[in-house]
Amino acid sequence: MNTTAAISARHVGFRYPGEAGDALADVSLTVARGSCFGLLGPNGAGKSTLLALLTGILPLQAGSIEILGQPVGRNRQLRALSALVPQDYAFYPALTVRENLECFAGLYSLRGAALRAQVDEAVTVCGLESLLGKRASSCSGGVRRRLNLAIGLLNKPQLLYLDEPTVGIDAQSRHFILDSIRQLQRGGMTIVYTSHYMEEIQAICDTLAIIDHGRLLLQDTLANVLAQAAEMPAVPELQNAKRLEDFYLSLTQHHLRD
Amino acid sequence: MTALLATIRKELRLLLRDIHGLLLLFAMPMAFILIMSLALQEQFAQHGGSRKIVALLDDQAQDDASRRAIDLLQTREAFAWQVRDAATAQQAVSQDEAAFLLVLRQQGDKLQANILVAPATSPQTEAIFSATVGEALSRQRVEALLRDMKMKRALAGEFSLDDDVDEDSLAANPVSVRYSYRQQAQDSEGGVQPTSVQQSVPAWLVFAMFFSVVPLSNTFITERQQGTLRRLRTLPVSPLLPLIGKLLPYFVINQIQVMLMLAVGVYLMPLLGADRLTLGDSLAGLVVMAASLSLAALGYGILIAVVARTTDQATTLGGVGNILLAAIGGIMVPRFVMPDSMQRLADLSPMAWGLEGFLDLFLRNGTVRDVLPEAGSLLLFGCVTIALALALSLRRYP
Repeated sequence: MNTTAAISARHVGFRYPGEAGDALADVSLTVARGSCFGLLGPNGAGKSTLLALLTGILPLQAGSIEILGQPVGRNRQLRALSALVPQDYAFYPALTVRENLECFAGLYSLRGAALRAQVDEAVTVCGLESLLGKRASSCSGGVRRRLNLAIGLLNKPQLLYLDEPTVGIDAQSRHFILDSIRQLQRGGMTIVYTSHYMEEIQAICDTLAIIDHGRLLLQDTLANVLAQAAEMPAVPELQNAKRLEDFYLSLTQHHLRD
Repeated sequence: MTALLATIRKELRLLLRDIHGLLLLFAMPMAFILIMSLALQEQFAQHGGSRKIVALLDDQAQDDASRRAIDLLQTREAFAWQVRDAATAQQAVSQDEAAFLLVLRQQGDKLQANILVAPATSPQTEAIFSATVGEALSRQRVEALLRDMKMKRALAGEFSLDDDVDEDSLAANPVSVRYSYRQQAQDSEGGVQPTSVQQSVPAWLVFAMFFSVVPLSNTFITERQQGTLRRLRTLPVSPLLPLIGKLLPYFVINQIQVMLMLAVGVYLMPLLGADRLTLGDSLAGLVVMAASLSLAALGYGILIAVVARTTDQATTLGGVGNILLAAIGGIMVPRFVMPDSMQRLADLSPMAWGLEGFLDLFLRNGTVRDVLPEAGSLLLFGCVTIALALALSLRRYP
């Protein structure tokens, strides 16, 4: 693993205009290049705000963030090196799969042979070959998730943010997407992965952070976190994933986040 | 540039697949133009449009006096005179195909004029017709009187028949009343009033251009709701691209609307029996008006897109707003039939600025200089609304 940081965030804070409390307070974390970094936290914990700050969607209010060695912000060069796959189906339902891919490739200023090559590669990675002419609106949830991912691969990003990329799909599509992500990581891509599914985090991430109420509760390797989880009392016969979930709940508490 | 072209291509594809949007932008205004132009043809004619009011003549007297009266009437250009037989003429008037039937018949030694008025003829038109007939008959009688006087004086040996006093001297009479009819009456601003086609085509064109608010804001809000806008903001493109990428294709669509609606007025309406739309002589003026009106409509659309949180809100806000602007702006009801207070209120609507600009060009043969006030107001409105939309957008979605 390349130990040079892909992401280095120091004392990051953010408060939305008109809000009384901080959405993020004094968050510091480091993501190594080539790693798959799991970002965990309950609803409203601050994960989306952190992703928005890392991707430059929100302006930095406090602290500093460096992405791939460059300060974050409205840095077009940096944006060309990273990509966000949002939790929403962030494409155009009225367009076909191919038209969506070509549209976003065009937004990355790709054209001609380069555009075709990148579209073909993303299509192959995400298994969309037979679906190119289909309107996105008539695709299944699994295909839409794969299209969402494929769009994120069009610029061959060094750093890929995946915001709950497997929500609401069947087991087959989930396994396909997780396999694709492992494949991408093996190719050297740094992955930041948020999910509420502990087994997914355990399956693909090598490091993780847990965030709640805008504060970072933990950042460590998966192995160390699982070791801590194993030391927890109670039910030793639990699977690792269940242990991880129990450990996560012990940190973030059981109460509902409405 | 590649990113901009990709955005424009995407917007056009989305619009081409939005059947409701296409109907709203193209079919709706065409339907309005066809229906309103044809339905209001006669109403506009009565308010001074170029279509003349039809008056039928039935000369049952068939003598010199009646023939002279008819000759004199036919020189009055306010009416379209048609000589008909009694049966068909009465039927035409009872069915409102003609406003009047004037029957001239000999009653003893007098020429009698009977006027039959059609049901839909307004009292004002009736008064004008009565005055016209009265004036023509009076002149015919004065001419007859002069001829009679000359004859009597000649017989009395006072002067010869080729004396210089004859009926032709009536025209030189300094106290004679001369009626002067115009094909088109004056409106409150001193300009000519439009026909139904000249009013309807630019009016519904303006309305249609402002209706780009609906597909434009729907696309924008859908992008925002589906997270696509969030994704776009992570791409290596200008933050203005999503906005400019919408304005440019819709600007082109607005220009297509202009060409299509004008073509309907020029080529289709005459085929349906309506007047042909006259476009004036200033192509530059037309380009200036089309461009500035489009900017105003798109600024309004973008502002609605930013203010509304859902597509339902945008459709309601944009649709109702458009109908209000059209109602007060002289789109639905022509300004020249409005009372003064309402005409002043109309000045507040950007649709009225657009319509007045087009009427300046089409009706009053205006030039670029003539439409600068309207075009300037529209440009200012467009710039202010776009700036407001940007500021609100940055505040709401930092």
